[in-house]
Amino acid sequence: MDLPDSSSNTSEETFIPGAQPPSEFTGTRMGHRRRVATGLPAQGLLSARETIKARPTNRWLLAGAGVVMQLAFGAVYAWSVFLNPLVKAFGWSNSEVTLTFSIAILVLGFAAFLGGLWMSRVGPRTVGIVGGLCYGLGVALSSLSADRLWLLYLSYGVLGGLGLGLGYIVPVATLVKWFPDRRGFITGLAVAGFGAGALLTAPVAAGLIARVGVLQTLGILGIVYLVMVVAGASAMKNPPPGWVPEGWQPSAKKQAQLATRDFTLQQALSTWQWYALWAILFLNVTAGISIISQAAPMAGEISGVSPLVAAGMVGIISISNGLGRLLWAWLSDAVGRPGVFLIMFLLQAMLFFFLPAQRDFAILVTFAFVILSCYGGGFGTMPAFATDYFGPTFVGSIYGLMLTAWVSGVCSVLS
Amino acid sequence: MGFGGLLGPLLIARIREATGSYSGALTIIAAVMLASSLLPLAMCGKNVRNEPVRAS
Repeated sequence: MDLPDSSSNTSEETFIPGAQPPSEFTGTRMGHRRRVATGLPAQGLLSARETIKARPTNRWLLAGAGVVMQLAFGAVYAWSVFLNPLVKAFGWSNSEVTLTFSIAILVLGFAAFLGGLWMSRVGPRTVGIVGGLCYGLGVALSSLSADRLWLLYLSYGVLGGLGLGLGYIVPVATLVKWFPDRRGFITGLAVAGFGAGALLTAPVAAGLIARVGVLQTLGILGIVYLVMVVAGASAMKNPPPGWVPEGWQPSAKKQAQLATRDFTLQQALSTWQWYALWAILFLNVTAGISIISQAAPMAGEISGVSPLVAAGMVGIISISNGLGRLLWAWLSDAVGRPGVFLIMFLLQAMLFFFLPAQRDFAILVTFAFVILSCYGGGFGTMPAFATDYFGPTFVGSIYGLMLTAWVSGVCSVLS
Repeated sequence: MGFGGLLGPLLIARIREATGSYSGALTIIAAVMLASSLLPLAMCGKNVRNEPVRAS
């Protein structure tokens, strides 16, 4: 059986399972509440390692570290900034260069699942640091790919994508354990960082390309990403099993929504709910990616605006993608995860139905803005949804496998 | 692979090519989203913890 991580809780203070936590510790243990689905009680798990070691932890610092990691990972969405400079510098075709991004996202999907599995064995810190090393080195090594397209695929695509996948799941799966009282908000915050990464990176990368050239820019940014992710991952650790924030008493309604035992991946896959969650993510991605893939020509056809103006809509809706990740997930803490997805689906049904009739470009953009906020909202809310159902201990692998619903969507649009 | 947005972009592109406009594709997506709302509705109050689970 997989054991929940405790190795990453490095020592300064040690307390014995069942004993009172040290006074410095910022939370409370509720070991009696947490059960593993096999029926093994939490303290039985703890006895396998005799003690849990913990030190005073400010969970908001962990959240900050997680956002830093996601900002670096989200920079991958700024790939298009490198597109034309690489085409011009080496004579590769647009599709040849774009394939690099597709490879990275494809590998991300597999690596996120593997990272989730690995994380349940060795803890988030190790996986995050390895992810940061792979991602940073992958991007940095792509600076050596002059006239060697295969090296670009191998470095940025395969190695970088591996790092992305391993690292992406780390803050998401770790922070839900530290914030049982605000799961939606915290997962939304983490993945919003991913969405914001491109917004921050794109102007920086464009400026660097103009000054030092495209390959040198990849080299510099690779090192920056490595430092950001490794630094953020170094702060990552799991709370002791059953930990809850000090003084937090979930309401009866909230208590009923939270799993009182932890499901392993195998156990989660034996429930219909895992497949229902996968389907919800799949359908939400499908709707949003339809707009993303056709935004510019669709805007031109429906509202008759010029290609240049239509292209502007692409930038605007990418902002709503990031905002939706945070706002919808935040809302899910108040109205529940099923409620938020119900609202998002009904809202999208209505907007898609009336979209073809919108001749006014401003209204068209508003409709697309809301639809794309729902697309982002799915990514922000789903990790918390999965944790509510299956518990936090193995959510890395459980949600990691769910991400297969997303990966090829991005690939199919961009390749 | 092939999941997620493979369906959406392909669907919208094919219908656009077949009909010459986006209207049909967008209406189909609207209908799919409406039908999809049954899924979260079905999950309200259906917590896994209340169901028997196979031990691994």
